[in-house]
Amino acid sequence: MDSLPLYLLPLLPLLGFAVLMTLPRLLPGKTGGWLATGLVGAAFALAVLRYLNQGAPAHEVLWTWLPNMALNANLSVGFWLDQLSALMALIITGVGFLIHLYSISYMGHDPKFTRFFAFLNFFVAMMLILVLADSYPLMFVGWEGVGMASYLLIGFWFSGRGSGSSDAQERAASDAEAVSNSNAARKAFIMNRVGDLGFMLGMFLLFKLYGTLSIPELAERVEGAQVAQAGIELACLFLLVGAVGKSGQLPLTTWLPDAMAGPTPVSALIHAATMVTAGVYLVARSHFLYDLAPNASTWVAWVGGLTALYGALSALNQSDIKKILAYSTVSQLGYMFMAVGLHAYSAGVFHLLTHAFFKALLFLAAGAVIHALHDEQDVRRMGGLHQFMPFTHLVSVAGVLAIAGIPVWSGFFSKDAILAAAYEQNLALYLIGLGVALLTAFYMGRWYFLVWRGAYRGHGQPHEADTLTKIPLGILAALATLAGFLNIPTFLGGGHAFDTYLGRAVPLHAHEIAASTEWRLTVLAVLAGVLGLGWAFLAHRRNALASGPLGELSRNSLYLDALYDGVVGHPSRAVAGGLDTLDRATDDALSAVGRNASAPGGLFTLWQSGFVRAYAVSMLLGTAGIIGYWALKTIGSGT
Amino acid sequence: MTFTDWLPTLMIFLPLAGSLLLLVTPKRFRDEVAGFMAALTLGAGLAIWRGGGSELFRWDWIPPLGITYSVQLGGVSLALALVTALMSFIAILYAARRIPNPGPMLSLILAMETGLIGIFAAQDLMLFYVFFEDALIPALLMLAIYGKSGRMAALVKFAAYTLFGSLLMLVSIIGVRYIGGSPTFAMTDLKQNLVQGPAQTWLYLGFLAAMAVKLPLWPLHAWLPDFHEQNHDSGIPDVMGTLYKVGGYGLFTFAIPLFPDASLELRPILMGLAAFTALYAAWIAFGQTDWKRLLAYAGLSHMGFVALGVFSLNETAVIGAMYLLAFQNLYTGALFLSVGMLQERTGSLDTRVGGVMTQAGALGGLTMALWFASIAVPGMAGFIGEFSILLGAYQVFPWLAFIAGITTIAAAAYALSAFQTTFWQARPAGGLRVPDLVHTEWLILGLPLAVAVLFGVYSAPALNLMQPAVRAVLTALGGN
Amino acid sequence: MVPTTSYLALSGVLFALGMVGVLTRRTAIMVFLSVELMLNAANLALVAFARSWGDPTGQTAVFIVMTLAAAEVAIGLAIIVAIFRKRETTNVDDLAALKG
Repeated sequence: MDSLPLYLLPLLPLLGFAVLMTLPRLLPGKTGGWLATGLVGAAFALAVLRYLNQGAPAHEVLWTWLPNMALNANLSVGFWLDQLSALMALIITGVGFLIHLYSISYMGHDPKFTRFFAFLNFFVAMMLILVLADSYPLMFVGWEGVGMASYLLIGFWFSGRGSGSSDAQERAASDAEAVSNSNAARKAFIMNRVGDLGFMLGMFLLFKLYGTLSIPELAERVEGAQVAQAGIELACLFLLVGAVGKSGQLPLTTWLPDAMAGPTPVSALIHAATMVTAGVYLVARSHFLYDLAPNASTWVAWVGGLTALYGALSALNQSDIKKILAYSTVSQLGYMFMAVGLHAYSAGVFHLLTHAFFKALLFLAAGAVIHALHDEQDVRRMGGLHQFMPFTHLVSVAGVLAIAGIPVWSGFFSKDAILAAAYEQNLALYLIGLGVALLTAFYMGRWYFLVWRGAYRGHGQPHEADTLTKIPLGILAALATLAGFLNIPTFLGGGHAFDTYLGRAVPLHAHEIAASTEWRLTVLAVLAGVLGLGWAFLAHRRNALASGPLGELSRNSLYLDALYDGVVGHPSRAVAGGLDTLDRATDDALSAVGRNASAPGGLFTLWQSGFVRAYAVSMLLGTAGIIGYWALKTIGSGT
Repeated sequence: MTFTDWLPTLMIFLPLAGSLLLLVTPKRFRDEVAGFMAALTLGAGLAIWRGGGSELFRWDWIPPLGITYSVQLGGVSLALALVTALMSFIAILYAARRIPNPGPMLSLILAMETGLIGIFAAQDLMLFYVFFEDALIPALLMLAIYGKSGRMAALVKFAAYTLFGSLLMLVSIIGVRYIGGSPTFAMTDLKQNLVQGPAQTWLYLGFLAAMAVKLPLWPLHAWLPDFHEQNHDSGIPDVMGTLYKVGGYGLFTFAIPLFPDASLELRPILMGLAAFTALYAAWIAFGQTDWKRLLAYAGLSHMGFVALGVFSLNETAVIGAMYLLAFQNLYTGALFLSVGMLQERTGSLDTRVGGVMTQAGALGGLTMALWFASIAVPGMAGFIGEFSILLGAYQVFPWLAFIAGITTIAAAAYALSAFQTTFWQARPAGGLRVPDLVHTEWLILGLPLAVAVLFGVYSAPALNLMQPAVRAVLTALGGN
Repeated sequence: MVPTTSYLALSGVLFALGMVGVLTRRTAIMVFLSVELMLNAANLALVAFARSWGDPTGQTAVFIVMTLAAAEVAIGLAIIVAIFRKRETTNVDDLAALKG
């Protein structure tokens, strides 16, 4: 069965996109959603088959894409399947399938139901191209493709959900929502473009250095090439800019929280589980470069560490149920960056895996809550929901425990691996990581207690989610709980199964920490988690959770957004206006030169009186003059 | 002389014949006749492509003056001619739909098509000049007949810039022949008798003047926004105007082989100017509130990229420049038409209409896809062009590639901002009911988009067509 | 035989009459007639010289001038009629639309 070609993986969802976009009328009701889900499910089955029959890395070339590039670097459209991309493909199709399934219920009443699934399918296809690409330009296709899908889906409710309403107030609210949704979508795309420029420049530099952009070729050439160290470092930094843009790391982070304007399944799939991890994937995929660039790697790690801190601090006092999770995503992505920056690729990717499970779970649970409360998203108007939605409550507990790093849930194992790597290499980063673990547990505890515990503070009758919603929630909860056992470290008696698997694609830097130290680190990490949850519990008992620590500073996410708007947004708009004026002025100046040049011509128009007889007189005088001159000349010469 | 030798000539003059035929065609058949002639032209072009391009066809036109009729369609010129034929066909389709009693418009489109294909086919500098000026007349007439209230000012400006540039070019053309001592104006002869030394630089500058106006390149671009703003609301003349931006092609085919030393000498300045044009135009586009002006500046920004590629003299970049030059016509042209459709429905060209997509989903969707093509999202033809240009330019001057690269961010900003305020956000209460696309409008927007996607995904046929031509031109530089 | 000078004198008189007509008359028709008179004065001079020199070239030229004059009359009168229809006047002083 391993002869099933790789291109089927992205092709299936792409077909779904094409069919759903062009023939929506053939798919009445929810058939479109089921078709899309089925196709992603088929892709998942395919990914599983390829995973089971995996041997040496597979390289399948389809057709020549950019032929005749100088220096004979012919670029093809080809796919590359090794352990890393196989794992990513499994996550994307697996989690993607579950979220498709969830969306059938969640988006069931939306008038653009079929369109939504078309975009979701498009996203899955592009994401698969991204991870399976055998060259950087092809990866860039997926890279911008997922950005496009993200743009379309954040702006899915681009005209507001109540635009048809006759009630003036409702309409005004809907119009405001329309503007903010559209702005969020645009912001995401533009900030991603900033990163994309970095990615492109990285490619250009790599091409200049090595003369190829194909990843397997590059990996070979890097070994023996005599290239200036500064060049590699710079190329890695360029790639880092790209990764930062896509993964919402500092300084390009502000689009990710805004991206929550999209429907909740989108937040779960794109802005938590898959797309935003593309930056981590890029660094892991380019490990052969980062291994040669210690400075750039340190940059990666510090970007990750600072972002983890930034995200955690910003999450402390949010009141939107999804915003808390969004900042948490920013923070967790920071952990992954920290790991890959410290060359602990396997730890980073492992956290990527577990994070995909528990964060998708938390988002989907949040979605179920939002649905149950009729689009209420403010946690201050929730509370006590465990009595109304027991099942969703249960799975949320699993998610919270996983992200807080409580043993045996999956987050415990993955976060522990990252902290161990940090401890070994950089104590400052380790301390940041530990502090962030504490903050994470606190804000997730705050989220949990505000939503599920205490008294119900809203109005309207919440209802439990339906079966179709429960299935993905249940599966994800199970995965979030158990996925950690894939990679039990040695000192706990495990065999590092995950590391061993991934080690065939990316280098493992086995850390050499004594088992006793490792025990101590683990205890510290768990302690941070427990303390954080306990802190949240105490605050909950004092009813002091509604306004979290750091007050306005955290609520406005350290004023980064305002800073960017002031430093970049407004000035660039002003400059655009100024340049326009300047352009017209240049034009006017040139026109003025033209007018002045033609001014002397105006004198001659005085002659043009418009009276025929005046012309006749001037003709007569002219003729007389000529004849007279000629006659005088003749007479003169005659004498 | 076989039939295939006549194909380029056929392709050049078929539209003109159609244009004249329209004058005697009864009113109700004019649409069909014009469409048929345009389709026939496109067919002739495809036939040439199938034959792998044509040989040089040469005939002594005015022997005493050394002017020959030398035409050849192959490589880059064939690709550009094909796109021109396709977009003229699309323009005719839309003109037939949109404009009541479209006879003069159809005639002018066809007449202009002749001039444009002639520009691409000409292999004689004088012939090139003739076609170059020939294409100007229909463009001016379209503006004069169908333009808006400020058309005369725009027309004078357009004509003044173009003619002034052309005059300098004519002087250069004559200079190239007599100083170099070539027997005729044909490229084959001129290449044997290159002008050397400082004279080459001066002649290059003269030639550049005309091409910089036509590219256009900052600071000689001022005619462009007014030209587009004042043209007919339907956007049809704008499609032809976009096709008429042949400066990049002229520089590539004539300037580089004839002025190799001067091109190398002026490379840093010109590349800087080009990169600046790209960024400057994109930034201005960000501040526009009129769709036509916005598209004009967007097109100017693309031309900055094209110029950057051509001036860099790097093979990858030059291929990319020609690729972008050819295929930007598809989506820029189609965007002008989509703006025309928008104007027909809302009665306004303002970018602040709001919420059109809630009612006209297909118009909004196709426009968005065309915008994505325009801002060079991978998978569309524009990306191949821009990526190759930047990749090549980076190998020459990394910093200039970086400056031009910022344009890609600015492009996303202006495109999405204008799109959002027109098509997204809320429909104003009491706003007009906006009908969605009907009949041929689907084809008019869908066909260019489909071609742009096809050549973005599977670019080999077009690249294989262009690459030998580019390599041949660049070898004149001594294998840079 | 009448001497050539007499013809030339007649031609001069006719030419002067025509010129005075052009300069003083305001009606377009009369201006037009005066121009024709001047034209014929020139014709007369040409024919006289042709006879005096015994060279038929002058006579040939006169034929050409006559045919051209006929064509010019047709167009000129048509223009005057068209102007009259549009402006209800043929007063050349009122027709000053070409003032710069």
